[in-house]
Amino acid sequence: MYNKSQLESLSQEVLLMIARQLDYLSLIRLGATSRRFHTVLNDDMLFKELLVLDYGVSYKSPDETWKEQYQQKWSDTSGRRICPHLSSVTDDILLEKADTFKSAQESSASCSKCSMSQFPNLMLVMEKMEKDVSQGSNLGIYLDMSTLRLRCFLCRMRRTPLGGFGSDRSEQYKCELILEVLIAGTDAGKEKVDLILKRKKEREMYVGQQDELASTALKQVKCNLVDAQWMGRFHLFIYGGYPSPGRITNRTLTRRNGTVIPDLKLYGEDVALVTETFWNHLAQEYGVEGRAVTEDDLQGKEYAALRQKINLMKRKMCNQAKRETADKS
Amino acid sequence: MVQLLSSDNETFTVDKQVAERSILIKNMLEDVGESDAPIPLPNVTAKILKKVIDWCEHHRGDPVSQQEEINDRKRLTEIDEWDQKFMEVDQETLFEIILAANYLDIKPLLDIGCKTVANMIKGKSPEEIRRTFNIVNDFTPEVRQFGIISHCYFLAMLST
Repeated sequence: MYNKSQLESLSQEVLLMIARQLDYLSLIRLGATSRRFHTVLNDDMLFKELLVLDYGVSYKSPDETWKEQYQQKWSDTSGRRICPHLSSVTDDILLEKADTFKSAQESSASCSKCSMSQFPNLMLVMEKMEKDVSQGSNLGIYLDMSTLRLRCFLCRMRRTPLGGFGSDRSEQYKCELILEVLIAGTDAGKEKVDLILKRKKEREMYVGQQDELASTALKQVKCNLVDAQWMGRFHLFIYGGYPSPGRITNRTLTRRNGTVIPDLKLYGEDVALVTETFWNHLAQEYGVEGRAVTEDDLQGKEYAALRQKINLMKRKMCNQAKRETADKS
Repeated sequence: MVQLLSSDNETFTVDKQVAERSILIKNMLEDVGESDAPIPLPNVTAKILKKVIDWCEHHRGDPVSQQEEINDRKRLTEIDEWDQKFMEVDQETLFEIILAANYLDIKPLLDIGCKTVANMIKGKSPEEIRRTFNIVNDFTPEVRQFGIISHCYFLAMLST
């Protein structure tokens, strides 16, 4: 008798929850058991999450995946190659420090006798070290203003500048990004600032759906269907530091004659739900391949199961939004 | 008191506080308001529902929001003794509890279920994992070969 594995029949959502409890070696081994596990466990946002949880690293260069970065940090047992503290230089800090950098350069206060700058270092982040104040609590990441190099005084074993020769590719990228944004005069720097601002805006729009869901009654919420693959790429774009996701690939949701495929799976496997307002924003910003699919397209008997699933999901989303807004206030 | 109706038409009567460990039921109660009609749970059998109710009874006093847990992963893998005993069931029941916890939206129970499964996976080779969970190896022969190569590479990486 052919007995289907019960572990395999779990939804992607639950499988990922199990995966979060596993160490790297077990993950690799589980991924080697069958094709389904291989695909599910290759979810890059999972590795991004694990990287933060295990090592506190939350940056990578755009030409590698989070999984690769995790692998590198995992094999970097001495902790010398990838500095985790660079992660705390967030985009917001970066933009703020860019202003400081500018004003420091404009004032160009330097010593009249030796022409040394009055601002030898620009502090980017500082760790709170309340215990040993006597030793000077100024540990953190600094930018040396005269050589324009970054140094981390939190990594105990390291006395070399960050992102230098021989260090990790991602670290080099992150340092480059920091420098280019700080010295925003160059074209590359401006491009990166734009990208940071765009990500921030998109994140706000994305989270803004919650307020919308929380303030409208369940019956009045209108949702649009989006290809889950694209939504995944969008996620990776706004949260994962990946490049822009491109046009919305909604073609995968419809059959050749333009009607919606009835047995689509929810929970990010085939379809994701977004509110109508957010969809309009996305469609305008990225363009649509295929067509917009709303709930109104799901009339008729063959869509009954899908409609029920969507309603359940909507209720879940609404309740969660309401709960979270209630918690905040 | 709240009445719950399992998929095989058995009715359970439980305290409202206990039933509201399930976010799904909590939301339903809020939507419907006070009513004596039993709440149908078409995805849960009586056997599993009984287990789930047992768990909710034992954990009725727990704080509901557990947001801070996500931060520390190491602490997470530990399961408290009662829950460990609770999860000493055959695999079929274990997975049915997980499915029920997911459906009923009982996050802490789902967490414990996932941890239990994770502990069953840890320290095993792919072949042992397959045997434990009855997983069919559906990789094509070429991929298998490649898998062996990358595994060797992996071992080489480990030993350096």
